Amino acid sequence: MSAETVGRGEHYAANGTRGDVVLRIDGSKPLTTESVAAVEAACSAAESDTSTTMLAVQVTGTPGKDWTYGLEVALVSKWERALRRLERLGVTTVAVASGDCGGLALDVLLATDYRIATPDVRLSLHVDGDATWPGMAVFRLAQQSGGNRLRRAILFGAPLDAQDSLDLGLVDEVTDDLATALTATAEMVGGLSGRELAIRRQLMFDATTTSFEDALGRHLAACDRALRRSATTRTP
Amino acid sequence: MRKDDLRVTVDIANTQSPYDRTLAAEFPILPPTPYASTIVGVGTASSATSFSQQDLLDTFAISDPKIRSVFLNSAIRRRFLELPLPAPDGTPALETQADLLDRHKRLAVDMGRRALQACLDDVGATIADIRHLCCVTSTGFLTPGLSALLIRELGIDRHCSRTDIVGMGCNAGLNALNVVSSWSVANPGELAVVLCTEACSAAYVLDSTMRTAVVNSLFGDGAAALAVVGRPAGDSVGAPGGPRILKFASCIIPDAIDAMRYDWDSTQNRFSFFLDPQIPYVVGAHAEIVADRLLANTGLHRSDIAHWLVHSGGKKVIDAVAVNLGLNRHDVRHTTGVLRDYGNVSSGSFIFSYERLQQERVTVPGDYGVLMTMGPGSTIETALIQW
Repeated sequence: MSAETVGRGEHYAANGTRGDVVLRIDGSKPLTTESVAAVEAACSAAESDTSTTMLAVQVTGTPGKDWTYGLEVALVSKWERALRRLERLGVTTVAVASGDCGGLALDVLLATDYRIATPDVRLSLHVDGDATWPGMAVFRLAQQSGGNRLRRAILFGAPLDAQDSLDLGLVDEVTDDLATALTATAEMVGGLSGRELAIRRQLMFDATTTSFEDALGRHLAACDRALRRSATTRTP
Repeated sequence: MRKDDLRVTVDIANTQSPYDRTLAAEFPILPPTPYASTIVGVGTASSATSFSQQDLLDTFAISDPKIRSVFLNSAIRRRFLELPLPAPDGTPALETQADLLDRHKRLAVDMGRRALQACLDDVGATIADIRHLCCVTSTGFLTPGLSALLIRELGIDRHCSRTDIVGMGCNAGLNALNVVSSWSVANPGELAVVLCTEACSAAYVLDSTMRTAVVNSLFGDGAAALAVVGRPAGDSVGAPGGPRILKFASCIIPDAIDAMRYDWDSTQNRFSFFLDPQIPYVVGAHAEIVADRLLANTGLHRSDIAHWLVHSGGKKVIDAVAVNLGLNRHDVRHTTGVLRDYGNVSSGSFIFSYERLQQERVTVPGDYGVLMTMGPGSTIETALIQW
């Protein structure tokens, strides 16, 4: 497994929580098989330890020019599959974003559940040659937000600063004190079940592309599951 | 283990080697055996005529709005069925149980023969190669069974080993695969076939009740065959022809033993099928338990499963299984596609989905798949396979 074990003391890790797996993504690096492996390994580590309720993700950096040189679409496909696995994970994924975030950093940020950013954050779709990179970040941006500022970002690569990102709902909070924010988030999600979160998340994803009639059966099944869970834990 | 020992940081800069799915294959999935059963071919067949749900509402002059709604909101576009010949007044003639048993025998043998031949063609084998024939049916009763009838009909070698699995319902295809998988490991190199052949149009009652409407809106005729061969275990991964079968897991829910049944209705003087409205939720609530049991001690997570082939039991049961297992619409595309084009063809449904997956040519050596069927008992049957 491609993972490194470290002790406490990482500045972004929340002390006293069960968020024991941390994924770091440096957006200045080009996409390689190692990038795919890192995301897969983090997902695998989070799934392997059933006590894990949160996966912290640290993202920063934006790629230099010509970052797609030599890239093949087969590798992009593997990257997107890894991101999809992250996006469907049975734990809450919490991102901490700082500075310029583009490329892989933006891709991963947009696949997380809760996003904390520093005031200097700038989200941007990187321009490669004479156009912005048309990866699934474009899809996620369009799914998750809207408005003229996002259109400029998608079409022309205009960066989104912290306030823009907050206004557009692309990040959930902006703070200088990442450790406190991450600890508070870990406390918020600590008692929640990751598997139940994954179900609600999937219902949310499907809602934008499914008719009421098609969606009804899945939502009723999810309600039935919740009722069965509460019946086993409560007495009237 | 202390909590600190579990703290893991994954960092691209520190990543040594790319993630490799074959790593998972090295986990202790099964006790080492010299042979592994491998699925080497697939074939399907239907009865001659297909109908839209609207065709059937018109043919049987069904006007009750609730029953019409059940038909039209079934997520089924067409089904293959053999309908009774019209009576002089143009409505379908009343058939006796004897008529239905005759139809079952005729359709089950005819569809079975064609599905079996399609499967052999897929393998590049002939009738003479078959060493074990396992026939599955739940929509009628025959003695001697389908295996004997097909051996006579097709001229299969009279010394062919055989099994008949009768009355286990929609889950039975995986019960059969379990038996055939063991047979293949014990008889390496020999061709065995699982043949599910269900004449669901020989298993209906028309009494204008919601009970029969639910059943009549759902099932279709169909037969499907899987060819299985025991191969040396070390050569099986990535071998051409299909996935090896790694493991089975079952779950019976005795509290729901009467919730799905096909038994004698003395008021109608014939067999009648019953589906409890709670069944989709009961099945959904147990799907995660059996899936986790299937993957236990394999080193695999659910997210490692690239292909899910779930029985096309009906829209509600597919929704419930998908929600409880965290599957998306793409994961169950063949399950919903088979339901849309064939209805619920009972025990062979998952083989129809398997055939579609193989035709997509998206599987790559090393990919894992889960087969899942549900049926009376109430039961969930599962199998883990690897391409």
